[in-house]
Amino acid sequence: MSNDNPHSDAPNPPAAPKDAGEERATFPYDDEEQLIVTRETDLLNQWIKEQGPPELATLEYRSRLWERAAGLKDSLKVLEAKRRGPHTWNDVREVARFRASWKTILWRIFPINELPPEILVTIFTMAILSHSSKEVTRSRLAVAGVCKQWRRVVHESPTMWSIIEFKTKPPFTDSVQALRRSKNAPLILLVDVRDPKWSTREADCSYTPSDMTALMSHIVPVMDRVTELYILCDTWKVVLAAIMQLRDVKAPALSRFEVLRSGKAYVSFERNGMPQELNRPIPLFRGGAPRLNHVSLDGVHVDWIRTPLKDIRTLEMRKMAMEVMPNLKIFRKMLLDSSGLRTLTLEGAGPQWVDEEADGWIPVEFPCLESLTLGDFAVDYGTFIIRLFNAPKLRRLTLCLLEEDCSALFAKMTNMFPDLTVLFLFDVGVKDDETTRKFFLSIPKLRYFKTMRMERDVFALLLQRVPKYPLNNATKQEETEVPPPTELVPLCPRIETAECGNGVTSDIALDFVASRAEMGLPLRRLLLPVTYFRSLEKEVSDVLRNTGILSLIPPGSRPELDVRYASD
Amino acid sequence: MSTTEDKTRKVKLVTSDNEEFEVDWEVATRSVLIKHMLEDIGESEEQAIPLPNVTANVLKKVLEWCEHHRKDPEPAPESSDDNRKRTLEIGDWDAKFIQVDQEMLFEIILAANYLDIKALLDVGCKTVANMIKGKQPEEIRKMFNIVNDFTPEEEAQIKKENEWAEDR
Repeated sequence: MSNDNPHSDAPNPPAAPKDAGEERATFPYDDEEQLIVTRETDLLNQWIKEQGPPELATLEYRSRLWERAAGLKDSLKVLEAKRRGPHTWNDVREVARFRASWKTILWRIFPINELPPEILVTIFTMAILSHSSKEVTRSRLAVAGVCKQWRRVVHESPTMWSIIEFKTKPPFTDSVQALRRSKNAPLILLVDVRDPKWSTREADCSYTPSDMTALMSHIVPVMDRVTELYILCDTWKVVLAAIMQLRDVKAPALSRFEVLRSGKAYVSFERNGMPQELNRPIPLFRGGAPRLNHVSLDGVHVDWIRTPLKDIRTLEMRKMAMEVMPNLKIFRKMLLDSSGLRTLTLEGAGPQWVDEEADGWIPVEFPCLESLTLGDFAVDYGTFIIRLFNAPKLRRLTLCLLEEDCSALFAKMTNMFPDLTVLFLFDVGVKDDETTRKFFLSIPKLRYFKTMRMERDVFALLLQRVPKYPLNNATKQEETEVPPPTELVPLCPRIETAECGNGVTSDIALDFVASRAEMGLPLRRLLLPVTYFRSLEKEVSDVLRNTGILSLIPPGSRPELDVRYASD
Repeated sequence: MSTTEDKTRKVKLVTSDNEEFEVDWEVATRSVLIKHMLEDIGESEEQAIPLPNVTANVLKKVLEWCEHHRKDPEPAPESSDDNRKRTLEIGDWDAKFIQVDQEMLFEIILAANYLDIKALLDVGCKTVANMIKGKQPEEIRKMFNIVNDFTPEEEAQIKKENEWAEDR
């Protein structure tokens, strides 16, 4: 799974110098070991490609391999002993070569098919592990395609079928068979009927509501053992067909429910083409969903009153028309019913915006809220949202606001999140003014600063020493009466990692690294996208590498990869 | 829950090849099987626990793992989404520990299963799973020297299933 790690140190391991065979190896032991492991893996993969078909494992075959393995092991011992003293690059390469050869022999001797079926199931279950349902399906097929014994183990083990995709039109033969094989195992179901070639016109979608109804007729009967359900589709008609089927369902095991409609928030329908249910919000799980704690609704709304949205720990609302969002009173009830909320994401959705209703509002306390994402709306709406709750323990804040000046929001957030350690700014207009400086002064524990499509200003801001302003949200008039403080302090002195995503250039990143070091606040890690890094001139990439703190972000990695993204 | 008395107590284990090991109670009870057997025999300190399915050289290796992990917390009961949260990463110490030849790896896996030491079984299974993950059937067959024993009809069915998976 190390490749799935969004922050793996991709530039490492360092390559051994070319043509340096007889030169003395100079890497520290751990770096050299990493180099050997990488080389060993390459050699193993190369061996697999070049190797002929498997042989029948006769006694003679096995003893021949044992003999060779013993010889290799002796040679390896000699090489490893040499590594403890001064040695050459050739010795390093030889260690990798001998280890790879030794392993190819030992794995061929390993009597995997003599392991009891329950252990094989454990191994196979681990081998097919992935956050991507598509990858699970592929790996499961690969394992089941090795030999008769493996196929039997896979087919007869319900837990191997606990993650199932539905991606086709009826009759869903393979998915239904997978459901049958899962017997009584808990299920994670992914319904993804999106068409990447869809024109975005509602009438153009080839997947029909009756296709979805037929699909859901296989899911509804097993809802008692579904723990996670993901529904991804393109149009209103299809998504409504899906949630209509879930209206009266009892979902005793369901903990996570996500629906995504890829069409726009506001959709124009052809004459008489608007689905009737659109104006009559549909309640979900009226039979009960007592374990439901993760709800994500993207481009679709529900009956906010009659859907059991209680004790939610993760609530994500995205892309909704204002008219269908919950009103403030209902939203307040939702918040009060979920005081243990840990993650709140509001992107282009949230409560209906009525400023007057918010007057006199007593903020809802969220003592456990750790992660907050606000995006895809105006700064004014953002400041309205921020008034609604208190989250003193917030650790991660993500802002994506597409506005030139977010000072009003920063002013509102000043002093609200003293424990903030991770800040992600995406396309946020940051002004180098006192208001913004005060906000950054109020988040002294910030350690991870992530940016995407940001101007130089925000980095310049974090290179300043500023007066230690009082952070009591005093009005401007009051401030003028207080003499300006004389002590100068750096903003966010604990920043250790800067992640610069697309749209943040290498010169900005380099300046930031160098200047923070000059301030006596050196960064420990600079993260850049690997694709961007590879596009740089060698001279620039060398400078970045020489900072000694560079790590690269592999393509497609996201901090919290989930099924919705993984299938993109 | 273990008591202070338990922690100072010694346990005798006898392997299939009749070798006797005396280990701390805390080390021995990393094995759920041994723990239950000790509960069954009560306070009798002299009574040795027979382990007819484990040889001395394998038990020595298993006990090395148990000694290192003696202070680890008890594993939590499995929940439905445990599989998803699992990773194939192996801790540094465990990775070095499991660098044994494959015959020993096989024996450790069997012993961990028999002795009911879930965390050790996980380390062994992950080591094998890492060699399977991401590979095509033909590559897996070569790696483990497994002969393809499918009939032409089964091959056709597998091909069809793969086409279905890719055709989406």
